[in-house]
Amino acid sequence: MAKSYPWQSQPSAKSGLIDEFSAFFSVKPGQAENLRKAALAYVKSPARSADPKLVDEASRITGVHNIRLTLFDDGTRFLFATSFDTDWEPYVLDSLKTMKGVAPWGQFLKYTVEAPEGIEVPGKIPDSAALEFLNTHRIRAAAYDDTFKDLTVAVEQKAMALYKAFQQVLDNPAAAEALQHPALKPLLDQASD
Amino acid sequence: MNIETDDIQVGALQPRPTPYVATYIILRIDEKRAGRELLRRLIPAVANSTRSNTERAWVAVALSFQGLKVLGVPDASLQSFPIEFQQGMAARASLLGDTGESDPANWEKPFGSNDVHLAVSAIAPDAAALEAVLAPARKAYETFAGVTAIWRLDCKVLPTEREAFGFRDGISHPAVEGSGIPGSNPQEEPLKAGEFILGYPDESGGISQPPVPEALGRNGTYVVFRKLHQRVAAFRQYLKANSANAEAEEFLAAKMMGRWRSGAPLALCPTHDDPQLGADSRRNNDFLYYADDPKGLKTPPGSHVRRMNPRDSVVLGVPRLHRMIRRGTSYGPPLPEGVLEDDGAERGLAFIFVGAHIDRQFEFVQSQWVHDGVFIGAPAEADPIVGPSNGDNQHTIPQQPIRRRLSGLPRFVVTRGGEYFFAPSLRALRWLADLST
Repeated sequence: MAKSYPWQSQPSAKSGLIDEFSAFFSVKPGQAENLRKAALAYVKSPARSADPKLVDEASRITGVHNIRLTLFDDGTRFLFATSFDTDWEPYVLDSLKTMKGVAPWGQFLKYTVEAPEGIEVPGKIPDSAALEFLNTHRIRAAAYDDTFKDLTVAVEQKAMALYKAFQQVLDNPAAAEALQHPALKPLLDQASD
Repeated sequence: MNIETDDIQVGALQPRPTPYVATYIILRIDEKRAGRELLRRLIPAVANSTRSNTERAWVAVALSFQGLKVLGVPDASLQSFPIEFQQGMAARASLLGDTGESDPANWEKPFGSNDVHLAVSAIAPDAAALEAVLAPARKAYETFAGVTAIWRLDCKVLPTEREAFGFRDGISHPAVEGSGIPGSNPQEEPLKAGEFILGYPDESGGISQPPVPEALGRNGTYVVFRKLHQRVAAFRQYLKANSANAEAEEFLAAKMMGRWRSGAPLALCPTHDDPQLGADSRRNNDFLYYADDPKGLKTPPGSHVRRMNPRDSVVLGVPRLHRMIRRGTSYGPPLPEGVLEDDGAERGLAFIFVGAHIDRQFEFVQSQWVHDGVFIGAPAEADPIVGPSNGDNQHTIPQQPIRRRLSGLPRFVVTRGGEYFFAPSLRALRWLADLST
């Protein structure tokens, strides 16, 4: 049978360019606290926070905007949620490839009942099997909205770089005179606050 | 990794010759036993991919999902083919950007219908060699009731040895592990065989899943065929309207394509053309982007060749998961040099993709890297050469001090029709011919 997943027949949960992914799991009995610690360790890990350039590049390659790891129902259930540029399916294999496999997520997913044995071991679970696992537990949001729905990671990075550069310009005593040229009126209009 | 080249159709992996002559024929199978008998008669004309068969002339045979169904392939096998192949190209039109003029409602018949069953293609360096390989195949289907040839396209290289927009093509070809066929970029590590042939390890770390049974699926591959009409006059008009002189037109064309028309890549020749380099297959694809041109000041990130293969650029996605074997052959008369008005003639490219994953390779590049520019931080920009447009496409050309942004780019390429095919292995062709359902 050709592979198909329940969510494929559901309408997309995109907001503009941004898509969301939510997967729900059951927590292994007695492992809620370990899962919580592993989730915290993941979001503080070098791949997510140490080197801004690496994070920027990784984010550009994966398009990931955020990751939310939530324990609920008295620590018996776990939500793994993320949002990213474009649709989930075309790019998820790319994300796994960039992470060099599912093992980084495996550090917290290993505390779930559904995770394949050895998911935390680098190279143990092939990307295709990891994808199958994630897709099987995915539930598409009934509704999803992002305030900055047309801002991809790359556009946000550029916008932030432009913002910082503009502030530098405004800090220059010669800015007011320099911005008088008619071509620069759109910038001058943004300069007062 | 050893791949079973003696079982893989030579047309799957072998780059097309240059110059070339080619013919594509679509057949409708009116009766399953007739279809099976035709396959039996075609098999001797289909060569395999062993080194002794690195001929430059060959016949290839492929079947659509509807064709497999009509042949009587069991339902369990049919259902093991990927969804996109089962649905066929017309059903995927929205994903592929085949809208407006490219909508399947406007396609040439029989494309878009359920009558496209069997594709027989032949390619050779010249007409005599083409006739030599095609004659046995043609004899098989022309004299046989129960199978009808319903469409044909004859292609040949233009007198300029370039495609209709004036660019040298057929430059880029990936190396496939175990195939013995070298790639055109020495800096690119060979791709896993499973990216192009079913039943082998692929770049995802898994096996490229063949349909079942193994006798049908292993050593096969998928072929995407598209007849693409090229609006050469419109392309020339746009270049002229946006350039101060002929030299500027050539530069603009290069900044849209990513190569000068000679084939010389902007990556190696950022300011001036080098026709010798463009013609040198040992050098014209030997480059990367990340270290030397991360911002695209030489090769714009949105240019056609950089979208088709971002190489080591920082983009949304991992290029090695989306590499393609692509072949183009020209059809129709050239528009004479200097003519800016369309003469109404049909001209363009018969485009072929070969690969083990229609969705992850062809459809991905088409929908994610051609259709818009989200992957390069330019959401509103589609491919300037082949992308869809309502007359409002944009293309950013990074340059110092101020970038240039092209606007009002029209659609230059219109889809006239196409289909998804499965190119069985030689053993599978015999399996199909021997069906008794």
